[in-house]
Amino acid sequence: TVKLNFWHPLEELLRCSHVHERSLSDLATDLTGENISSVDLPLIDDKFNYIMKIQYNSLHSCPRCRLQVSEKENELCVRCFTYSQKCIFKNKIEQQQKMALSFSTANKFLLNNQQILRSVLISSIRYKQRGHIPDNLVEHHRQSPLGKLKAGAAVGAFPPKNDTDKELRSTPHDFKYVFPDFLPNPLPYLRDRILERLERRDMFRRRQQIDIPEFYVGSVLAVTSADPYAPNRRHRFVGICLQRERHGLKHQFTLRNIVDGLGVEIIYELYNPTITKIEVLKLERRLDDNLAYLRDAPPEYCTFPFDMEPVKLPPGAGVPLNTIQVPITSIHWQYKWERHDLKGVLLPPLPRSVRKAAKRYAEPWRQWDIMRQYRTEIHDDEKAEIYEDIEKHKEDLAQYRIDSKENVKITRARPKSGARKAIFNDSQQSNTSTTQ
Amino acid sequence: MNRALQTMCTRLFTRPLLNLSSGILPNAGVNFIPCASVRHHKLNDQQMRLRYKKLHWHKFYDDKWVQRRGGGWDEKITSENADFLQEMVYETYAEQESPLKDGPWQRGKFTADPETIRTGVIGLKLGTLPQWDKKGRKFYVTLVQIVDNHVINYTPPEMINFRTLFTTRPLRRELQGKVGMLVVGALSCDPRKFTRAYNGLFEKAGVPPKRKLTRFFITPNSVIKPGTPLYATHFRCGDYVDAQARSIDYGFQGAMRRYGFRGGPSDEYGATKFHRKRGTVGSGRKHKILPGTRMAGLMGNKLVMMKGLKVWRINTKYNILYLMGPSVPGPNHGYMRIQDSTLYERKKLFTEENHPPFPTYYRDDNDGKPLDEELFADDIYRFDQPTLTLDDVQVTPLTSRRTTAKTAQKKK
Repeated sequence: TVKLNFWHPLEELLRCSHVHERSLSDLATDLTGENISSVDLPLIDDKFNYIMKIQYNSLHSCPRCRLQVSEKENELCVRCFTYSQKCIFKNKIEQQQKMALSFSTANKFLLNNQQILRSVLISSIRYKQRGHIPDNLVEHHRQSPLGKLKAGAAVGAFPPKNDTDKELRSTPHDFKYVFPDFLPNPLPYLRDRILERLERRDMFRRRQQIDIPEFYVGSVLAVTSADPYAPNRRHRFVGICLQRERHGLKHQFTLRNIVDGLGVEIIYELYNPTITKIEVLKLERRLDDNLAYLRDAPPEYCTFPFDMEPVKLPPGAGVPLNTIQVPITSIHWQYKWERHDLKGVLLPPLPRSVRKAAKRYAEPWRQWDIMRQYRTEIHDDEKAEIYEDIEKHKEDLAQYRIDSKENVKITRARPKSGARKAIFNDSQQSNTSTTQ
Repeated sequence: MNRALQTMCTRLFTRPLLNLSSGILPNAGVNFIPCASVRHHKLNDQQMRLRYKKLHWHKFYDDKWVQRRGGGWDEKITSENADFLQEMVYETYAEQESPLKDGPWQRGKFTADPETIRTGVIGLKLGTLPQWDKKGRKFYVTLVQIVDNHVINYTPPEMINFRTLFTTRPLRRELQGKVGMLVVGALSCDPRKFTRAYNGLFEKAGVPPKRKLTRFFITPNSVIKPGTPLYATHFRCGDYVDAQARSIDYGFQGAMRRYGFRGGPSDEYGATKFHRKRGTVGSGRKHKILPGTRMAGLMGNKLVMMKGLKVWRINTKYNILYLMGPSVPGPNHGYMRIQDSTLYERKKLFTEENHPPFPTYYRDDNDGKPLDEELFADDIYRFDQPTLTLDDVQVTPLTSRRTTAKTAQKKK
């Protein structure tokens, strides 16, 4: 069992959630190694401080996070915090009862599903265009022996994709949570194998230069970027991460904070070369993927002091889940939050018409939408290639760090200046510091 | 876009928009480089019909082309025979003597005065990526892969009948009679897919039959022997390029989508039967609809040329060019024709001392050493370089703007 003596903040967090019945002791039993697939933080001497060690859990039952919850009544899935009523794995009688829809609701279900299917089709195929070749033909021509037979072959000398030695590497189970920027383009017809490979190469090269830590939506970050207009040529911003969008080199995250009574949000591109440093001041997860509702919440939920001390988590601990329920007190809402199926939100009492409309627009079948889940994941045949690249990158990074430690000579060739000094110190710190 | 506006735009965009040589950033704080390239305006349907005096002017040359598709029926052969046939196909092309065994033709000399036009290349559009320059500004880049290009055929200018010629890229009047025609093919295929007549086109080059063929008009000094492969290093990083492709087919679209008309208000304001319509179609006086009136119709699926695209990076292993801008025409995995830019300001950068590999890049060109896998333009940020600290960037100090009253006062 995991010792929870040092885990004080969680107790307070538990108090402000709905779950009053549960105590820390219950959590202790939940956090046993057999029960959860915990995400370990790296040890101090671990060089790869942005890649997590994951304990792979064999049984995955919860549809949302594939976590096995112990056989108890009214049990909560610790990772996704959905109540057991919504989980389909246990108490099959209940599940069957819920799934048995009445005739009218079944019709609506089918109609709504048709629309969904159509939108899925539209997004996954492109109507036949003149002068373009289907994807399988592109791959065929890239590896075609007809192009390589002669000495003056025009096709490049790259090795063909080997189907024979496809040992499926054990990709980390939580790959998509730790590296959401490596997830594929959601539009299948815009995907290309070589394009993605070159993109990944650029991403790995950038990750060698700067330490891009693991963070989630809901964690507090401090980002230092190079700004020619600032007095010290550096601009530092602290904020809570609201969302992480886009794939690949375009990956963005927004940080929100309230500065001098004014809410400020900055969207940073993760791979922008002007970003000097990304520190995680508080690593935690929230119940939702998108915290845009914080704009309509009281300001104390978004205010973080700029000189905030980083919260240190013990090595071997999982990523804490903040089960806070944020009240939305603003009069005017940006979106209709009652329709969004948000877990971390405490909605005020709403008029009956609004609640009825929310029910009408609700999409309860989404939790069983396998195609949607499929589209947000990387599949086994691509996992092998991507994880191969990551492993190679790990080796390269290790070598790079060894080399740089041995050969670095600290000389002051350039004249001392305040700004230069600060940068030098920062870079030294970032090499040795970890996300702890 | 009328002719005057087009020439003005061409002249505008070929001059450097921002003074990138000096280290001064504009005060506006531009962090994004828009793609400053020109979309070449083609003549519309009605004008083409008048020019060629034919209703189906786009089927002009159908009877001059050779029947391409063949095979396709079920020959009912056993699997072993099928494998054997496949092996035979590979062997014939492996054993076939390349016409290059006698060595390539003599390389011409690049001349700036009587202008020189090099060949182009057929590429495949892969997709877009963001890249950053050394000032930290982001721009998008289109990847184009040059797969399996070979030169197929050359006809000297004396053998071409320029009066009946119809091209994807308009040929200037002064070049008629002086340019030769080079046929370039991409993507080798199994000859069993095509007719014998089509396969015969490739015997001179000694190359498997190609899926896609185009013509490039070149000056006789930049001639290349048929059978020569063409690579991405045919271009250099930092050069400018024209890319032509068939744009995405949107089908039958209304005037609002097609020409960007504003349409009408939604039903909320009580608009009766006017939401996405074209509106008025004629003027009060003339009792006819002017030809060329913009209405609903087929959108896209037209040859579009983007001029002045900069080549930022080249990947020699996969033969990929990184071209400026996300607005390169065509769908992904679509064919593209890529040639040196014809914009005046870009053409005059080529001199006798400084010109791209002429007539093309041959494998042994780099003194037998293998090329670096990735070649970069000077101003692009490479990801293996350290983080961009914009310390050496000078910022123009903010001064209050002088009004005319103040200047008058000062003069006194």
